[in-house]
Amino acid sequence: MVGGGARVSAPSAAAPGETPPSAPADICLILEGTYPYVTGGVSAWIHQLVGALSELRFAIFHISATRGETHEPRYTMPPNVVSLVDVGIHGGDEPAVKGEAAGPAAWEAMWRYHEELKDGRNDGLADLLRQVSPHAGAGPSVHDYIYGKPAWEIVRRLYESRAPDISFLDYFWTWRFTHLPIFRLLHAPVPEASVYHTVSTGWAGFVAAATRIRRGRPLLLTEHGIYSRERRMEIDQADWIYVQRQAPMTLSAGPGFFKELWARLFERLSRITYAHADQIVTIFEGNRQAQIRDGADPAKTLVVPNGIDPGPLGSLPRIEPAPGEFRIGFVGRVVPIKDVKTFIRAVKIVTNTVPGARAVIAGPGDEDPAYLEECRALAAALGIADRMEFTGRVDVKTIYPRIDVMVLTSISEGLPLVILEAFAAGIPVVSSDVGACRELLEGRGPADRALGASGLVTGLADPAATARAILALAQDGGLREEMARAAQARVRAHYQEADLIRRYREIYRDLRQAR
Amino acid sequence: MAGIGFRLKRLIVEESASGWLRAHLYGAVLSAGPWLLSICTLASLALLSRELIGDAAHARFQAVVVYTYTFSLITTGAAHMVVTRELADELYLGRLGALVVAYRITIAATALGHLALGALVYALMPGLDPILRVFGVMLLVVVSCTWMVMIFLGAAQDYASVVAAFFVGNAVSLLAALGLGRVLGSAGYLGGFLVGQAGILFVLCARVEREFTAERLPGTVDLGRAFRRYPELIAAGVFYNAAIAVDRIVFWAASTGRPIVGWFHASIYDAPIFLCYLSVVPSLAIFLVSVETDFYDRYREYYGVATKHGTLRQVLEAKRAMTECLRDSLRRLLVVQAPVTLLAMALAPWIASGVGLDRLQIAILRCGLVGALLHVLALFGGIVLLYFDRRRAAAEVAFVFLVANALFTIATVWVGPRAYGLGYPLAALLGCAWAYHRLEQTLDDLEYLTFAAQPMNPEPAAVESSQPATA
Repeated sequence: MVGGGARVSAPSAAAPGETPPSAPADICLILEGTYPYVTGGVSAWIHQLVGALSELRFAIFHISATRGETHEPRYTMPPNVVSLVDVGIHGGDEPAVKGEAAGPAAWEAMWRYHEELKDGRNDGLADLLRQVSPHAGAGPSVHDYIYGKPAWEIVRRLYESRAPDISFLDYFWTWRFTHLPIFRLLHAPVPEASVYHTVSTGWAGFVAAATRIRRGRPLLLTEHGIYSRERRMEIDQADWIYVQRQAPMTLSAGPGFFKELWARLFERLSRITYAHADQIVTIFEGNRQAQIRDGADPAKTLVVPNGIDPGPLGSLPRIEPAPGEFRIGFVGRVVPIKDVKTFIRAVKIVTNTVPGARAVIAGPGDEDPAYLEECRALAAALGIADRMEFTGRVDVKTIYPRIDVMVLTSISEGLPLVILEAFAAGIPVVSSDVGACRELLEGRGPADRALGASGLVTGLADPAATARAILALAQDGGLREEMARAAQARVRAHYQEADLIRRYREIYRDLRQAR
Repeated sequence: MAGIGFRLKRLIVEESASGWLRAHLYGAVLSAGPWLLSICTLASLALLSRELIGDAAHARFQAVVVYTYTFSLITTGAAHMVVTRELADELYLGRLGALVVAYRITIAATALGHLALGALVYALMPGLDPILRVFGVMLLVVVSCTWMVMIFLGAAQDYASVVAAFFVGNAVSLLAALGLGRVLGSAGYLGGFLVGQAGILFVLCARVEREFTAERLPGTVDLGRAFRRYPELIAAGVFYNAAIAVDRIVFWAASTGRPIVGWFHASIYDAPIFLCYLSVVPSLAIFLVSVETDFYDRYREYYGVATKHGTLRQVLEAKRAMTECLRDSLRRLLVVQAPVTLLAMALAPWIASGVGLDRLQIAILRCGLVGALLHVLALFGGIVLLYFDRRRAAAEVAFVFLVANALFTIATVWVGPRAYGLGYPLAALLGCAWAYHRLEQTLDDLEYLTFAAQPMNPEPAAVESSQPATA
């Protein structure tokens, strides 16, 4: 069905290649680059949700970046995960097989669909799929899309109508790289389920929308961060997109033409997901507004904040600092989006004033080893390597009791669980003003704000501002205690895991009954 | 790279993504040139033989030589184009070490294979005297190795050496044959001829050794992989060489064949057809020059624009210029070749009386002249198809030519003497039509083939060199 790219396994039996149970799952999670293969906030959230809703049977459809790579799950999945399918979308083997022939009308429909997208209409996918690819495996094969003449004609027409002055070689290969995942996903074996739940837009959102159309089952979208915006940031920094290969004589587009093409693709995938989701959930108000700006129907949107069980962290015995010592914590993956370098620079500034300042960076660095190395090198260059501890993957319960302030310097976040954890542990937080962080630190709504601030908000990528905030807390024990109290009160009042679980149980129930 | 031969150096410096394409071209021309020189040698021997060794002895000698040439082309045809291509791929990757290895493997395998084949055939064939058998086996080995060694000189584009070697070698063949023939009859003739041909092989081998092994370069080569990768080239090589021989084979095998010695036959068809090939020498020269100069420049320009970030409009413009240039080349070729062919047809009776052909053979000669013209046009169409890496289409052209030539020639033999010779031009016309039909399609679809037919994940070694568009 799919050219050998999908690996299907029943995780409870742990036998690779085993087919999923024939009974459809209650919920099929459609995931991209996350649970159970990649650790992180979203993965932790999924693990928590699935584990807590033990009465529901979950299937997981996971999209990996690279084809043919074998992954080891990083989580022990709860027994109610009944099947796991992993599909790689980039690279890998040649798309081999021939598919069903599509008539001229079908190819013309594809062309019209692209014209509609250009005109800002995102609801044509249902009609298109009915004509061209009503179910996975139907319609032209991936091979036909990539190598076939009718597909070539569409690309040629797109080029001539959109960007006739740009390097055709780069246009064509950008088209291939952007569309190969789409074609593969159109053929991917998404498990049967009563409700589909995608935890991002993008590729996962696209295959979720296609599944919604093909199976007629309700689709729930939960977006932690706003996918299209995160992608745009990545793309702006990407060095693999053909900026430098641009011909100097092109007229129609600046050097960022191909970056714009990629960014627009992800925006469109988001819009398509919004258009086909029955319910659109995000974790804080700011994100909900962003979704609405990007085309989500306000009536479908809902905020369900993340939550934790504050009990265990709240009852951890604190390890007091040595006299004169001040312990700054960073909890999270060591990756560029967390801007660990700003954290390191801020720590350097703090040590100028507080000689006893020490820092711990607690989180895995294996996702981007080169970046980890750069961070270590930066700490060494700033002369603070001896007071900067990189723990690698670690149980956070051993970290929170021995830090006095937790710092977040991310350039993008949703609603970071680490802030909730720090709150539960009674630790004030210094955070960049991204995602839900301001709502978390200063309160959302009047009742919440009345609890007082539980941390200090700073600008992005601003080591001096971060350092000032850390110093404010380092030098004012009273403020620290005040904020710690507010933090614990806030997490108990508004960010309880039990509330989150209850809300999702209701949403799933309502969607299942909707049919 | 101090020791590497001058020509190879130039080839590499030229970042010759399409070196192999040109290699095919040189291959075609190179095998034609020596073929023509050999025909001259054989013709001279034929003219001088009557009072020297007598007609019957000469016929035996000539049959062995003609059969050796004919069938060695077919047996080496299976490997000829594949090795040509593999060599160019390696050359493109700058792996000179691989060339030496490929060369030695190829020559050793060809020699051993044909030694075994020749020994088997001549052992089983009745009615030959032993010296003739031994010389026959040796000639088969020498001639097949010569075809293969020319690939390597073609890769080095060293056709001057080839022509010089053949010129001198054939002169030696002629003199030695005359000398030994006086003493030993047909075996002496063959032995003398063999000396010259073996001399050619040794000179060519020495030339290759000097060119490729000037510096000790480590290298390995996987010829088996090349054969698996390019089955269409195996087919094209066998079909083409069988196609150019099948009409003569039909005439030998049918009632028109005169048994000469053992299994070898001759027919009235042989002499006029060999003469016809001489008439297309101008075409070969023109094609070589115009493809090498104008067309090749446009071809490079096209792939340059396509791979160096040109717009589609620029790509199509370059394609138009290239197509135009190709048409010009063909026009120029016809302008020269057509009068030559027509003149030869008009002069056929005089030519015939000069070389001793009868009336029936004059008719065959006239048909053959038209056939040869169409044949070279089909051949050039096939070579241009290979320029665009349309291996399958090239194999199809050869296949059409082969089947048509076999069927039409059988039909003409069946109809009788008034139809003799019509098979070859008709078959060549069909091959020609198929070649230009496929070429037309290729040029129509060229930008599609250039971009969309490229694999998503190129296999590192081969595809890079064979696919100029994304290399």
